[in-house]
Amino acid sequence: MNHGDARVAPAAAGGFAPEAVSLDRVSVAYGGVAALKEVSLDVRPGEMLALLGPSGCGKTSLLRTIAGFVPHTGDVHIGGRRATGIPSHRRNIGMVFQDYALFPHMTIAQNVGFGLRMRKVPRREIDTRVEEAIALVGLRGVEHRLPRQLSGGQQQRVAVARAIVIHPSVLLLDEPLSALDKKLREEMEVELRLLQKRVGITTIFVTHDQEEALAISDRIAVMHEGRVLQLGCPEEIYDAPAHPFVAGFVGKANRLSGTVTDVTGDEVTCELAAGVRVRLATPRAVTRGDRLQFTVRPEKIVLAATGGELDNSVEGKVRTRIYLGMFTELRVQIPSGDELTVVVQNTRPAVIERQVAPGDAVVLAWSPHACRLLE
Amino acid sequence: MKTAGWFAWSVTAVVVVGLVVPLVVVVASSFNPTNELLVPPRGFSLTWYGNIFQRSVFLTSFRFSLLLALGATACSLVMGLLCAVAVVRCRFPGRDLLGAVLMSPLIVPQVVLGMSLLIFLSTIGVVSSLAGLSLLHVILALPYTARVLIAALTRFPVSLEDAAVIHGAHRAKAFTLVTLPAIKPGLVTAALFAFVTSFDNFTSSQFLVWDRTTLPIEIYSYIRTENDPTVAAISTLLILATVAIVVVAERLVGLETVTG
Ligand SMILES: Nc1ncnc2c1ncn2[C@@H]1O[C@H](COP(=O)(O)OP(=O)(O)OP(=O)(O)O)[C@@H](O)[C@H]1O
Ligand SMILES: [Mg+2]
Repeated sequence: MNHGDARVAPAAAGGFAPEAVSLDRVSVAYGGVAALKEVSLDVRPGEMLALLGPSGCGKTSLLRTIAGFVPHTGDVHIGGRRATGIPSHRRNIGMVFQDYALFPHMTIAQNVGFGLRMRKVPRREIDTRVEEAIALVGLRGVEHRLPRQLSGGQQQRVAVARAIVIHPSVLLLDEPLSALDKKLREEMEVELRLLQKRVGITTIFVTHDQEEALAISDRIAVMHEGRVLQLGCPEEIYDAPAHPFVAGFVGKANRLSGTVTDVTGDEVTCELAAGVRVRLATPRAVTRGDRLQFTVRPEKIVLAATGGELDNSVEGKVRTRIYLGMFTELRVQIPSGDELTVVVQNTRPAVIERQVAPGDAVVLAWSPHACRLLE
Repeated sequence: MKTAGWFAWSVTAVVVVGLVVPLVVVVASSFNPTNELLVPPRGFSLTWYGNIFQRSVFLTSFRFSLLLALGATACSLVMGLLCAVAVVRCRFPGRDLLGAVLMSPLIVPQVVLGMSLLIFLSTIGVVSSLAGLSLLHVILALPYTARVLIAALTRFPVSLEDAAVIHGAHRAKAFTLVTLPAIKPGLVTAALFAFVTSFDNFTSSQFLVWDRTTLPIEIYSYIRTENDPTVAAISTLLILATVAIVVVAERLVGLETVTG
């Protein structure tokens, strides 16, 4: 490798390796329109980080910044080295593009071996490493085909093989599964996750699918309008959203607001409209009279025959009922006027289950700890 | 509905007949045994094909035209590619203007183009057919190559080239290893357009003929004095060659469809 020393060295395995990728107040603008606004982000060695956010929030721009394809302000470090100034082809990054971007005129083996040829790896070694990579993604036997002779899922795996065969410092995946149908996508998610763990490459994974993000990443960065709003493990992102946008974007959330009427220890009582009282556990100090906004996840609310077993119980009237096989989704209006979405697990077959119908009066119950205070 | 169908059919038929009849006439009359341009031919003879090779002017002008067309094709292809990259990939002030300027040789009357080049070249003292015609033919071919390659590059997904770059290829290398092979049909189509444009040109080339002359001009001066089917025989050979080249190109790489 004649220019090997100029490449970004892979992060040392174990030990106190520096952040695999670190962004420091990175901003990107396209012709005056800001796509990234002062984004700072540290990615740990070996982790799978999901960039999650709605369309147009800057996920692709962030990946392309790390790849060195877009001009930006702020600093990007890869493997502890300042990447700004290192051209894209020397960054030692593996990347899977949204449209796979396989070279149409090269066979699968040539596609996978491309990065190694560019690195002037000896032919013998290229052959064995290509073979290994193709085996790793479970595609033995298609080496001599052209990309257009493969299915979408197979092409995606070729793209993954092409990216990992170079032993990259960082793997960037831009919505690689979005073109697949649900079933294949779920299979590929698992495969990708296992593969990533096996190879241990630091991976940044773009998705706008929150289930995908929750399912396969170590940590999730939720993005919105060019900013990273929250960075945390899936449980944190889901159960402790730090921002109203995060709460609404990841999973469903019922939003409620009211005034504090009583504070006892770390629990407060909050009065909604029409005198509906809700108790919630709050980590931060509040005083009587404060206006609070909080959320309750639909699956944390149960239909109670009688109130009492959980601290909060509120009467309501079923507005709509949607049967979804594994569970039933109800929308229940409570006296305060709020409509709460409630998810009921269908533990028993529908023929035995007491059918709740629109118009029925029900009692909703949930724990004070299920409430999440918003800023 | 039915009348509309008939109307469309008749128009198509007229167009096809209009396109094909002259070819048939030329090919048929080239086989005349007598020295007249007559259809249908009064027999079958290859006399006039033999005559082509007896007249050295045809061979030398053919060689010159071929050389000129190959040179113009190569130059206009490279320039067209550079222009296409600029127009498709780069954002700069005057980008739209560049697009318009590239197309202008199609709009400017050929007489004007030939005349102005004649004045320009003789002013700076260039009196060589090769230099003058080369310049002219590159100018004439450029709109076609640029147009076809802009279409091809627009359709080419940049992510392919980015994929080559991120996996270790220098941008220029990525362009040659990935982009060029992917737009090969466009390159071949552009080359064919350029070649034919150059090889066929008559009107503006006339102004720039000093020491050497091209085949179309030689043909024209021949029929001003002789009235035998030699020119029909030459035309027939050219038609054959064109068809052969297009068929081979289509088979080997496929041709870019030029759609607006
Ligand atoms: N080449 C470009 N020129 C101008 N604006 C751009 C360009 N690329 C992206 N943008 C804008 O920058 C913003 C961020 O785009 P980006 O592609 O990073 O979003 P994204 O999160 O990847 O969206 P998606 O989920 O739809 O792929 C968007 O508002 C987009 O319109
Ligand atoms: Mg995107």
